Amino acid sequence: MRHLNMILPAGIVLLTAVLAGCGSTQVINKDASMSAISAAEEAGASKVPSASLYLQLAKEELENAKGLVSKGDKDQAESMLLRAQADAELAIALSHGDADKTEAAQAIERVRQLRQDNQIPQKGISQ
Amino acid sequence: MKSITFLIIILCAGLLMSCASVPPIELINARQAYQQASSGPAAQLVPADLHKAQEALALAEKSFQDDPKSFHTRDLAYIADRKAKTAEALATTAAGNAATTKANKEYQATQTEIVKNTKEDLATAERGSAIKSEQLAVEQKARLDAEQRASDAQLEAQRVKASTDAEAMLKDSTNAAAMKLAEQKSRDTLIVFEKGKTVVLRGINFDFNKATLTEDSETILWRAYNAMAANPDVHVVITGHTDNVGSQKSNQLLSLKRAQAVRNWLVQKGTLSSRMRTVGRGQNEPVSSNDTDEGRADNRRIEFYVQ
Repeated sequence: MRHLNMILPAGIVLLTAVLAGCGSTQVINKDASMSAISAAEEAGASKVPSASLYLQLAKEELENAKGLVSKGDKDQAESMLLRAQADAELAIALSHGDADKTEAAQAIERVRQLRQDNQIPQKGISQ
Repeated sequence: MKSITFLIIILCAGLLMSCASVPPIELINARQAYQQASSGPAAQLVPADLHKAQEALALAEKSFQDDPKSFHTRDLAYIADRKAKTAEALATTAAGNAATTKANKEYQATQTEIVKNTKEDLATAERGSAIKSEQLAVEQKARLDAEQRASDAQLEAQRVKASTDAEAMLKDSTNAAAMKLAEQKSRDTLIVFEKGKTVVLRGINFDFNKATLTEDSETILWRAYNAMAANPDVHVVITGHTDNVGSQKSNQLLSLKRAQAVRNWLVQKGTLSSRMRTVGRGQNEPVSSNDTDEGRADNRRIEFYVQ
């Protein structure tokens, strides 16, 4: 009985440790990936052809990571999340680049139109 | 046999090593992506992002060296590829921003240039307008001056004419008054009739080669009338004389007609015709030489012979 009293707490601690260990394999940080995906969506990546592909990839990779987590493959899940984050960040950059490129083109066109309307010779304008 | 086996083992090991050194497609893509990004504007515009890509690629390469076929290697290479592309995209964005900034500066500079040109054009136009206005003002002043001079000249001419007319009128009036006075005086000067004497009346003129009295003859005729009125008992013989211009016969007739004209005038004024007889002497009794105008004028005369 005395051994039982000693074994029971040890068993509880062991079980808790095992459970805790199993639980920790299920906890991964998806925040960075999800935040990047949300930012890409807000940047309008879905409307920019070159960016929408990477946004879609990021989403798929996020789902894959979730699947890997459910299978208990934490390392690969985290690696997959890093992929998703990288794709989402690329989608953001492409979205901004497209908008800025459009804005630059519009600004250059405004200059060209202004010079033409006022019969001023065009300078070498390049993007 | 042993050497063949060793050779086979070496060959297999070589094959295995060559298979192990083949990088995954993700790493190949990452290398290419980084090569492309680093050779573009990213190195200058977004060096920090390019450096991240470089670090990611280095991790992938190290993982490839340590564990070529692991998912870690592929994922790290994949991430390196994306970071390289991200750096390139950010470089494109930075270039776009720079182009936008440059274009906006050019836009402002162009606007400034337009404003400057507009101001210069406006100033030029204003100067031209001022010059034109000045020219117009000068022309208008010249025109007004010319009109004023013309008006002044016209007024002066009118004034001179009025003055001249007034002077002429005054002179005429004065002359008329003087003449009237002289005429009256002359008219009032009584011709003295003495029986048996002849009174020569000079100044009784006729139209050329006619027996029509001229108006200026009336003054003399009035004197004759007054003399006749003053001497109601007197009878006279009115004799006409001519110069020698024309024929004898015509002058004879002309002198008679002129004597009759004088008598008729006196009769019209109230003198009894019975008191007057007319005779024509023609050119037969000159009192002066007919060779001069004055002499011929003296010869053309009317005489009253008092009976």
